[in-house]
This record gives sequence, C-alpha cells and structure tokens, in this order.
Amino acid sequence: MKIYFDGCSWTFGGGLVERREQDRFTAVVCRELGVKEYNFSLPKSSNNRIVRQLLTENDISEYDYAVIQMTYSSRLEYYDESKKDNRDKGWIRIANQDIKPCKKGRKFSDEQWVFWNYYYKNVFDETYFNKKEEIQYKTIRNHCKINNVPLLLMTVNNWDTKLKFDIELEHTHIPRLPCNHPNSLGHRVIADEILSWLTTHK
Amino acid sequence: MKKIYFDGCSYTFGAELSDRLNSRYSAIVSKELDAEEYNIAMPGSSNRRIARNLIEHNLDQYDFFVIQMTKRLRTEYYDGSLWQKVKFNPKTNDVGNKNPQKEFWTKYYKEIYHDEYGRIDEIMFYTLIRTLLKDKPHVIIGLTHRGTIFAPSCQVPVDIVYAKGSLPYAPLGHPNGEGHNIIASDVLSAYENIL
Repeated sequence: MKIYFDGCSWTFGGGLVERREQDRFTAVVCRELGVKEYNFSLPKSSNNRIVRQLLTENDISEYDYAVIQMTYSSRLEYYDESKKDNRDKGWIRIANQDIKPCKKGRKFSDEQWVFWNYYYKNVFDETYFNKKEEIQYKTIRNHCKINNVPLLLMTVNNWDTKLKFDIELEHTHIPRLPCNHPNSLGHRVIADEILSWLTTHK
Repeated sequence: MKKIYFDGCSYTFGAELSDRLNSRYSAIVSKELDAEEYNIAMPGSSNRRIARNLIEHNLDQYDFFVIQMTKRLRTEYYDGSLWQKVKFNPKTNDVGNKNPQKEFWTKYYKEIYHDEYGRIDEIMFYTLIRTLLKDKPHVIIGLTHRGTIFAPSCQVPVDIVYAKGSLPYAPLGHPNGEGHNIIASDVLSAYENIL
C-alpha cells in the first residue's frame, strides 16, 4: 500500500525536533500499517505548493490513498531561478507571518519586505484568498477523484474556511507544543483519525 | 432550447469585430446549433477568472461548454467590490494606467513573476476546468504566442489550439470575421465528434 502525504509544518512534524521522524502522524500511520512513508510536506508550505506537488511533481495514480492537509489560504510561493538548488527547487515559500515589522530573523531584504507587506495590506483580501482556496480545494479533490485515489482532505484553516473538510485540525482535542504545532500525543490523535478513515475506505 | 456556455478573453469576446454580437464565433456556433448563447468572455481575462466563473455557475444549466484559455501570466484580484483583471503589456512594460495598483503589479511582473509560476498555474486551471466538465460536452481552446515569458504558448493538452498567425486577424491582433468563422467551424466539428 502507498499513501501520499502532503501539507505544511503540521504534516512535516514541526516542533517535534529530534522526534520528528518517529512521531509525526505520517510516520505513525505508516508504521502501524507496515508501509513506506511518502511525506512531501515542508514547513510554511502553501496550498499553491501542495497543488503543484500533486499535479506536476508526483503521479498520484501510483498511490492507493492521498492524505492531504491544506493550510492557511494566504500563504503562497513564487519561483526564483537563481535559487533552483534550494530544497524546493527554486520555489520560495511565503507566509504572512514572514511580514513581521521586526527585522530580526526576517528572510527578506528591506525592499522585498516593503513589496510583500504592501501585497498583504493593500492588494489581496479575504475574498481573494477564499476563492483561491476554493479553486485549490476543488483541483485537489477532482484530480484525486479522476485518478480513482481515495482522498482524506484535512485543514488547519478551519476557523476561516467556508469549505467542508474531512478532518479539521485546529481543535483543542489535539495536544500542542508551545509553538502551536501538535506534540507527539497530538500526532498520535491525528494518526488514529487517519487510521480510522483508512479502515472505512478500503 | 439548448444553452451553450462560452468563456475566454478578447478572442471569445469578439474584440475588433464591427458587429461583435452577431459575428463572433460563439454567436455563429449558437445559431448553427439553434442554441442560446451565454458568453461571459471579457478582454484581459485570466485563466483564474475563467476557472472562478465555472465554479460560480450552476453547470447543469448548460448543454455544451466552450472554454478558451488565455495567456498564463494574466491574473486577477479583488478590490473590495469588484474583481480586477491584471495583464502585463510587454510593449509598454507595465500593466496599464487603468490598473489602480499599477506600481505594485508592474513591479510584480518585472521582479517576481516567472514563467515557471505561470506554467504551474496553467496546469492547475486546466486540470480544474477539465475535471469540472468531465461529464459534460466541452471543448477547450488554447492559444500559442511567441513562446516568451510575456507571450507564452499554451502547454496543456487542449482540444483546439491556434498558433500565432494561424488565423486571419484584425489590425490589433484579434481574429477578424473570417477568423471567427474558422473558429466556429472547428468548434462545431469538435462538438460533432463529442456526440
């Protein structure tokens, strides 16, 4: 059995540090099922990246199931050819928390910061991000459906989204680390929900 | 009576035609099939707008869909009350004076936008359009341009493709009346093949 996993830091195992590879929910699920783990997530991933990975970097028809965790709709990515040796092959991930007023730890030059700050404050709004999320959501669902791959679609954006997901992750029943990511027990809770879904979608 | 859904950019809108509403290809196709024409194409449209329109419509109301995909670098944003079209003009090297966010978008196209981004966007919108319409009679049209970053060629497997220079054109580069007759003929052939 092959299960395709993608998402943002929640799926990557953000905050678990040295326990990441053993305790993240994708590892727990695959260990319980005795199958190899295919986890394409990265921290600060956008839904743009998740769709790109699904449509162009991987062949979903080679998998038996897809477990995809969508993230905050305001995140995005752009391509910088000069950075094509980075771990995401030239794609630069942007999350609105990168647009902090504080210069410490900022990943952008001052000029880039002004540009992206303007983007989030003046150009794009909730209506745009909601529609972008809907387009990406339908693309993911339709692409898996047309390839006959059962899809479990989760989100961490459940307080803002208007869409229906199979599992909403931003809930208090998932224990967290101080950085707000799930702790090892939280990943176990998510893994159990996925395993339960898999048993009903054989 | 049948109802046909058409969307696209200025090609499908019928730009530069003197009798646009009667001589654009959507009108010819609809007349030939004795169908009601529903054409929501707009000059400057993006594939994002075309995909958004599809998910905002009840598709069960239509008997046939003709979707003309456009240049992948185009996009749109919401200004609080309306969706604003964004298209970069390589001749003037900006997005035009009508765009209220001209400075931002011009900088975006000059410093941030890359054709690889456009290529991925095109694949996403193509996948969404094709899968939304998979159980419905439909034709997707693509355009190839010079193959440069600002005049890209469509790289997804559309049903009908028009290369730059393959149709008779009006002075500003849109199909003329004869060009629309050719497109209509191709769409009707594709429709017959679907049936």
